[in-house]
Parts: sequence; structure tokens; C-alpha cells
Amino acid sequence: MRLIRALGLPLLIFTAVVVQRSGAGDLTLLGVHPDFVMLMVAAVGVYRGREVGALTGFFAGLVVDSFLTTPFGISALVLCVVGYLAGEIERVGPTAPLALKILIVGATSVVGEVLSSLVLFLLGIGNPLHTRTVDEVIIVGGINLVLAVIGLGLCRLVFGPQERTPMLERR
Amino acid sequence: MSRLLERPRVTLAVLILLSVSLITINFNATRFHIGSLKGVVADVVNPTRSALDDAFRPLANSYHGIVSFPSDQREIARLRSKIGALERSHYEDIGAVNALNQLSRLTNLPFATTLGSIPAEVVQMTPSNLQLTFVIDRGSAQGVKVGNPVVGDAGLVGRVVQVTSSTATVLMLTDPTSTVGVRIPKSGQVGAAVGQGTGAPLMINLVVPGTPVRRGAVLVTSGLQGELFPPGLPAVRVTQVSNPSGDLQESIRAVPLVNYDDLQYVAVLKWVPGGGA
Repeated sequence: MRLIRALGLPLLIFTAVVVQRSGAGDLTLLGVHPDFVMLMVAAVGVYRGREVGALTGFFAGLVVDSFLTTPFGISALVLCVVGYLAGEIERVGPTAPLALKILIVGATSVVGEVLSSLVLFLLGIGNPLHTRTVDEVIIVGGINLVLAVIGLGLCRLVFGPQERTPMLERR
Repeated sequence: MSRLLERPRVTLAVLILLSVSLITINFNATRFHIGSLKGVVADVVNPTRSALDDAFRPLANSYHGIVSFPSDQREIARLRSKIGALERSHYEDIGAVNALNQLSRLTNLPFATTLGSIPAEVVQMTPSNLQLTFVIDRGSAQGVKVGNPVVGDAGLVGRVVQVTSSTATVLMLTDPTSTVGVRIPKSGQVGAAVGQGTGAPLMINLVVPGTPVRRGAVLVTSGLQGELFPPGLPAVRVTQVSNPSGDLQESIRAVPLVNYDDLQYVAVLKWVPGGGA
């Protein structure tokens, strides 16, 4: 169990990347692919806070970028922001209700999708007015909202139960 | 100020800076070998990905089956409709070619060169078991008269038995009431081809025993039998010949030269019994 905890975070991200790159990532809903990596980054952010969330997002993004032809670093940029924003829930502390955590995972996924489109647009690669940006934002956000319970459950399996002391009190 | 510089925010700022740097470096990819770094990551992930691919494939296929079922059904219906339209078009083309062939042969009938003819289209096969007839789209207004022989591109089809101003009814050779006087080639012997009903070969009666008749021979109209038909029209093809001992005539069976099932166009010969052309 200790080994799982030590290797847990890389293993979690590696699994998410592999699942995303495998047949599961090929599944589409109305032509939009799910984003399991973003789901896991948001879940880690919710579970471990802003700093871990941002770092996880950054490194996960680097791995994701390795498979894309888009400029290296775009996913890293987007996912570190997603992880950080999801980690904002630490201000509420581990006493935050599960529903709020799920909502945060969904909401940060929406933000991540919007941010992706924005970055691509700024780099002159994509045009959100010409692509199905709205569909992607809604569907990815919706899927991650539904799958948030699984993501958070995996985090609990890897990191163990959250401490019951709110972070602000600890500080 | 200290709140602004709390550690998570600094970490985020550093990471964003790193990301932006990477993106910038990416645009100078010729100087920095990012491609090889991507290759290393892909080499690590790909083997596991392939294994998971195989594991996920059935799930993915099931999902696709469920999600795309309505659109697949619509697509199948659309394709079926398209196939149906193409088949119809194909058969229409075949029908048109057959009709054209029949018509072109009818315009140059080798056995009725001296007789005038009226081309006509078969518009209805009489749906009756009592009488084997069909209706053509030419009648008295076009000069068709009762008794006119009707021929197809291969030979005799029957004779007109009823005429209205715009249509005429033709009695087929196979009708049990139909009798055609025929002549056997070479020997010159005559006989009478009598219809036996749907699907049954005609009986050639009154042929003297010992008359040389071979299977496949084409019998032409004799011009006898009260001159129901002009002489020399190819009428039937012999399919069976036998001479049971003691019989007073040859037992010969024959079939019409035309296939009534495929009959689309015919020619009405301007010839009436007793009156000639």
C-alpha cells in the first residue's frame, strides 16, 4: 500500500494518459471525445490542493503534448491551470461536500476546454468561431462531471482518506 | 502582498512561465529537438496503450453500436432506398433495351416482307384461365381487323379475335381453341398445331406416319385450314416426335417461337382470312 501511495500520482496520470490514448479515448459523444486526463488532473487538484494540482497538471500536460502535433506545452499550460483552480477547494477544506467536489471537477473541466480554445486561438492554430468549441466545452464538462466520482474515488484509493482538518485552520 | 506570493501561486506562475517557454521553444523546433522527447514519451506509453486498446475495443464497439444505432438505421434505410432506386433504374434500362431490340426486329420481319404491318404494344395479358389472350394498344382506328395475324420478332404469336376502336384482343397459339395449319419443311406435309393451354406444348395433328420430322425443326404456316393465316410464317418449333405403333398419325409436340412472358411489342399483319392483304 505504501508503494502504491509513493507511486500513486505518476501511476494515476500514466493510467489516465493510457486510457485516453486507448480505445476508451476513441469513444465519442456527439462527435466529442472525453478528456480523462483533464478529469484526473481536476480530481487530483480537488483532492490534494492547488500546488499538487498545478504540478500534476503540468507534467500530465507534457505527456499529453507528446502525442499531439500542437505546440509542445499547450496542454501543460492548460492542465496546470485546471489543477490549480480545482485545488482552490482546499480553501473550504476536506469537509467540503462531495457534491461540491464533483461540481468543481466539472466546472474546471469547462474552464480547461475554454482555455484550450483560447490558447489555440491566440497561437493562430484554431478558431473557436469556426470549430465546435461550445459542443466540446459542454460535453467534456458534462462527462467529467459524471465521471468525477470515479476520479475522486481513484484519488482516495491512491492518496488515502483526506484529513478532516481544514487547511486554513492548519495554517 | 504575502498572500499574493503564497506558495501555490508562485508554483502556478512558474509552471505557466515554463509552459509558455516550452511553447516558444516549440516554434524554434529546428534548434531544439522536441521531436525526440515526444518520441521517448510515446515509446513508454504505447506498449501499454496497445494492450489497453485490445481490452477496450469490445467496450468501444458496444458503445458505438448503442450510440450510433439510430443514425446507422437511418443510413441503412437511406442506402436500401438508394439500392432500390438503382435496381429499378437498372431493370428499366434492361427493359428499354429489350423493347428496343424487339421493335427493331419487328421493323424488319424477314417472313412478312410483302405484307404491311401495324406495330403494337402489348398492354395487358388477359388474366383468365379460360382463354389465353392478350390485349394490344391498336384497334380499328389504326386499321386492325378481326382475323389479322399477329407476329412477334421470332414468328407467329396468334390472331386478332376482337377489336375495339383503340385496342384489339389477340388469341395466343397456346389457347386450346387455337388451331394453326402448319407445313413441315422439306417433306411439305401439312398438319394442324392445336393449343393445349398454359405451359403445355401444342399438339401437331394430322401428320401422316413416317413423315420425316426432326426435333428443333421450325414449322411454318401452311395457308390452309380455311386460310386463317398467310402461308410461310414461322409458327412453332418441334420439341418431341414419336410414332407409337398402330397410330394413324405422328405424335409431334411443339412450342411457339415467341415467349409470351417477354412479349412487349408485336406487329399486326394487314391480312385477313379469305381476303388476303
